Amino acid sequence: MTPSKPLRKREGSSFRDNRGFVYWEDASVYRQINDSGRQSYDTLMGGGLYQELVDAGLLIRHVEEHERPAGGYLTIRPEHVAVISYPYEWSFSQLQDAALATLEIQRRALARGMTLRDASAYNIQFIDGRPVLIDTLSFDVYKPGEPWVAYRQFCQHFLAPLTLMGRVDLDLGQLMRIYIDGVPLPLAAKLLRWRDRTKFGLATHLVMHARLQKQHEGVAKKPQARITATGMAGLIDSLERTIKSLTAPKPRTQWGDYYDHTNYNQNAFDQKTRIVADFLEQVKPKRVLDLGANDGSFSRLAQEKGALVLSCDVDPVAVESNYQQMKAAREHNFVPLLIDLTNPSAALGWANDERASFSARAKSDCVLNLALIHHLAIANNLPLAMVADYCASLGSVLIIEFVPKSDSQVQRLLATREDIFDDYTPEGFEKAFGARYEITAKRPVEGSERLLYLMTRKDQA
Amino acid sequence: MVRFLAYIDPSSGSFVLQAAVGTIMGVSFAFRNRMRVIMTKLSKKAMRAQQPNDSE
Repeated sequence: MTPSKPLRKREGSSFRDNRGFVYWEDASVYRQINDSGRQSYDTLMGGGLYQELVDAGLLIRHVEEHERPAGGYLTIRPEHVAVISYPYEWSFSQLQDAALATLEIQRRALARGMTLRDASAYNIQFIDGRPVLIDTLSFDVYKPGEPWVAYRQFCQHFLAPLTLMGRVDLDLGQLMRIYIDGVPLPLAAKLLRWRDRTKFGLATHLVMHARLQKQHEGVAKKPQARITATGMAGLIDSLERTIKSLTAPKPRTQWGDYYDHTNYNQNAFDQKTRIVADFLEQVKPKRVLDLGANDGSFSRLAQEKGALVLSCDVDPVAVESNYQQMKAAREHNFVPLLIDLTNPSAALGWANDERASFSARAKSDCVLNLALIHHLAIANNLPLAMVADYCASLGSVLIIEFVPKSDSQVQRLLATREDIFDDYTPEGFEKAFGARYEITAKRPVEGSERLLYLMTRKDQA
Repeated sequence: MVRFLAYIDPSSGSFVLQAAVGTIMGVSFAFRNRMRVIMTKLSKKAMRAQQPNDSE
């Protein structure tokens, strides 16, 4: 009997570049470099740029495979990226840091006679808390005088959404969900307030850029445009200063200061922390998905116990605060994400295969669902059984907090609506979740009427 | 139709813009860099002048 060939699957988003492609084999990621990508790859490696960028933590490290691939020049195996996230799941500062990392890479590339041929936000991933370029084939040999081919893409993927988030409304970052190749510049320019249109960086890179794009669309001839090396350095510098001048607005949102307005007293909060820590100690998960993480207080408990944590929340201000804390403490194994659990990121792009859904990327050993169930079941009318099904699809262990109707937070939700939630009781909750899980432990949070549960999915119990 | 044409040649406007503003940005960048170098030199000189002379 001959050994079966390992299963090879081409990555759904890897089809635009004729110089190579990414594929999966035996749960590892590989990148094939075709002969057409040979010169750029050799210049990247031989010219010192690869080592410089890897040392600076700006480019993903890889190893070269020994076998020459059929029909290709070389196969490389990049380091494993534990969490794949997309720009519409990032806070303002995450997108801003990704933009600045892209410009820094372009600056260093130019200094070594290379240039970025694309500036897609999807090529950046957060690894150990830092934005890192994961596309090793993004580089080309720089030809003096040639404009930056990725300038338009950079403005669409980074500058336009950041400007709209910073100057108009934080929620406009969600435009990246609709426009998979970045926010169209004419749309961004149209949404911009007049006073912002007059600022030099925005007037040039957004407004004038949008106008020139419109003027030149349909012109089938490549313009004879040249830019000197100093001009190119000036362009990158101007983009950097424009990006840095943008700041995240700080509106008071529903969850941004949640922990200041809960009905927990310090004692109850401390007790909840001890119980969750105890549950985590029992489970010892390697990867934790915290749904409704707010600013990440309980995510950090899991991280301190050695887990990689996906710390999700629906509120951009809470996610921003979570990211800032992560940066300040230089935390590793921690990815704050902006996720609306009632409408998580769908599979997008060509054949719905370019960008994977949140549900496909989020699977973890353990799901944290703390102080969230009332928002799902009461504010969003989600039947408890459906919440149990979705949680069970994301991980085999669940740590969940039940917030009863007597709790002031639930009372607030019920104040303006009819109470149609007859099964929203500890018994109804246990029955709904008991269909999918074995309840391993149940503890009351003293000083409140809330209950904490540790559950194991029935197929794992 | 307009969107379709824009997809065929989406970067022409970007190239023209870079050529148009690149010179201004380059000159401004070079000027600021030069000023930064001069200011650093001046501040170093001033620091040295403020330091007490050991031989005295």
